[in-house]
Amino acid sequence: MDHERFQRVAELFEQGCRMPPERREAWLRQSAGDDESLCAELRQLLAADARRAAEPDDDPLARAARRVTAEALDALAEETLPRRLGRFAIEAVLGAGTSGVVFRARGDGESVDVALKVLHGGAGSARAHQRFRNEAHILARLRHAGIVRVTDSGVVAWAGRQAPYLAMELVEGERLDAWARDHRPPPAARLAVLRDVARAVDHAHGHGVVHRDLKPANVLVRPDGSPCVVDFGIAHALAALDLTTLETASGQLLGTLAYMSPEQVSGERNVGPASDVYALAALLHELLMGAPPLDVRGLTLPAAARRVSEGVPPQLQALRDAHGLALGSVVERALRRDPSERHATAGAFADELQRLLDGGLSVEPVHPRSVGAHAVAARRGPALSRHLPAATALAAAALIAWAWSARPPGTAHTAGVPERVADRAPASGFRVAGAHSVLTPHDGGQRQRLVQAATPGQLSRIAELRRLDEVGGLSAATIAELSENLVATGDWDAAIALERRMLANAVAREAGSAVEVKQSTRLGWLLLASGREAEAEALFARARALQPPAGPVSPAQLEARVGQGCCLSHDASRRAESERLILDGERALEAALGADDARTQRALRCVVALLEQLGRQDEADRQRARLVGP
Amino acid sequence: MPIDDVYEDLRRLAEAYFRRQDPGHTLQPTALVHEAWLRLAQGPAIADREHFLAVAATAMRQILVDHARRRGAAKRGGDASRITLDDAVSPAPAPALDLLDLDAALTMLARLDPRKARVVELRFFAGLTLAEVAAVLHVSAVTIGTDWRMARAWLSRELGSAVA
Repeated sequence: MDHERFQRVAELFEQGCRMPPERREAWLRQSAGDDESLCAELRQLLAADARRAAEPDDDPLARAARRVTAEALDALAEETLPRRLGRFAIEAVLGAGTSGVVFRARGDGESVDVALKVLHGGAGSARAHQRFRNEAHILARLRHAGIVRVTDSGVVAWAGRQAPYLAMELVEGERLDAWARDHRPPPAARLAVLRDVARAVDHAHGHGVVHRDLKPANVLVRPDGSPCVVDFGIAHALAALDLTTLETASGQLLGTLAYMSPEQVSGERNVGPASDVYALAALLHELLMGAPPLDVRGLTLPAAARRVSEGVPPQLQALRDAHGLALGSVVERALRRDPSERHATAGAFADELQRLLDGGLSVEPVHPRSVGAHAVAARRGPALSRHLPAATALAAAALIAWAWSARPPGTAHTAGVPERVADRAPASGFRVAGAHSVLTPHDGGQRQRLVQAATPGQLSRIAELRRLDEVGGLSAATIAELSENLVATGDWDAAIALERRMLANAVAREAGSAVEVKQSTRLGWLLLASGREAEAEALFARARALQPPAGPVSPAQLEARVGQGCCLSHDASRRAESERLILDGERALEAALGADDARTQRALRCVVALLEQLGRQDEADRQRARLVGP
Repeated sequence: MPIDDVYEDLRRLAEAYFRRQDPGHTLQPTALVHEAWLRLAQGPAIADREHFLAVAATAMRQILVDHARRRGAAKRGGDASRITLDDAVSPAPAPALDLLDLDAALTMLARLDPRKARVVELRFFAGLTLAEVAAVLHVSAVTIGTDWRMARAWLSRELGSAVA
């Protein structure tokens, strides 16, 4: 039967339906003629038609179809959510994975609900099931506040198969990553939780059980902040399964890979407590940096496995910068590829974390403004948070401008290194990324190179200045270089302190002078860029208010106009004023100094940032084209 | 509205649905599909709704057939006690139709006449009335009526005694 023939049949059928029954046979002969099979076909179809009901929904076919689809749906439901399993009444699905399902259930005659983890019956071999049961018995012996308590284990019949199960205390809590995201705890609190997890893991190690699958999903944080490790040892039972048999809920497998130690991924034999130590460090890394050390999101399975077993965590320097060398080195050690180089036990790892906590890891971030999901607690100098609020877009522009050729007019460019530093700053410098101008400071490597570029003399000067010694005796040019160097190396506090010194000196020498105006403006830019807008605005306002000795408004005062506009940009009620100050100021600078002057360029950057913030992208692009340099 | 998304939505919805809000009540796929629509779109335009249903019917069919296949054996008869008979179902349990047979027959029909198969699919798996089917397929109700009549006759004959 093909398409065309079917159409013919359909046509004839339609006619036949309209034919009164007694005339049908004759009509058939006439229409179908010699084609016996066609006649037979039509006779059958017309007979079937005779059995149809008047009401389409009443039709036997429709009824039968309804029945069978309902049945199919029922079977699907039963597999998804059985009503009973063994002695447990099933209430809800708490979670599901490739290996099994976790239900909320209540055993007959019991008064509390439990978490019932059931392996899909038939998954893996009988040996895997046996191992599951063995692990269950071991787990039943573990008693620790940080480890979920096992109450029962066994086998139930599910969907016609024998499914191993584990009944556990039902832990009220959030997954570790959800907890961090929702509650935004300070770093010290995150460390404390990880320390508690490490202690729990250590307890299990003492009983000969290695978790092997520590990941955010397996650590629940209770409302009181205490963590609980779940799914203990289950991964071990599943290790017998060939990875390829696991379905491509590949997101789930990748979730595990990210925390898996290299030796686990490679399937080597030396998997032991040190593997759990690695995972603990990976968790800590994620809590502090927002992602595990080797992020495998978006990778294919083989690529992810490769990354884990061969990759080098890229964010360790950033972690050191943000949280200090001590914490950084603890994490680093625990993440070593060679298990023997890591902390030998989870307990040792926990002790290290405790030591860090005792040593007073600062809980409050240095810049309240810079609190993000992963608040930075700086040890030496502010490390600019990666998440400055949108309002500091203009501060960011100022920052670029300042870091790049920010020499006050009249200072000589000295040959050699200082110029290289200044030249280098823009190339590897602060970048304003995206409409919200998230500022990304130099990464550690670049910073290191910048410091290395300074001469020994400069470095010792920097060191001296950080102790805020006498700045007298240094030329303005040297001060400017040093100040830039400090900014470039991320030591904002020292740079600001230095500039303050300079300002104080200028005021002491001659209040209200042009020097004071210039110095105020310089300091203003620095403060603005580091987020201290209120103070910056005060300085800019003062600079503008000071009367120049003679002649037109000085460039420094024009700059102060732009700077003040930037400060006001985040204040919604003064937005119009802000816009006017920036645009007018830039125009005036251009008229006075020309478009290519460094000061005009700085103002132009602010204009571009302003226009982008206002959504005037075309104008912004036009202005951006006039910028020299990055 | 790509079918994979709808498939996933229906899947998740099916799982959420089966929390036994109403134990003992057999869920009709059509109810599920309509619920899925309500959840997936607020204040739908008619055109969107019909398009959704058209896609959902196929998705639902796929879900159920895939599941039946995974279960291995064809579901024959089934446990009468597990199914709550609703008004639309005849009280006399007939030798039941097999879902996989129905699916196979429909697939065959689709090769011979795609639109007729579509009519059946929309009726059985999305629970549309003939008028609604006509709207979805942008064809007159009369034509759909004719399609249905032929399709049911052909299917009945194909599926034999399983259909009363």
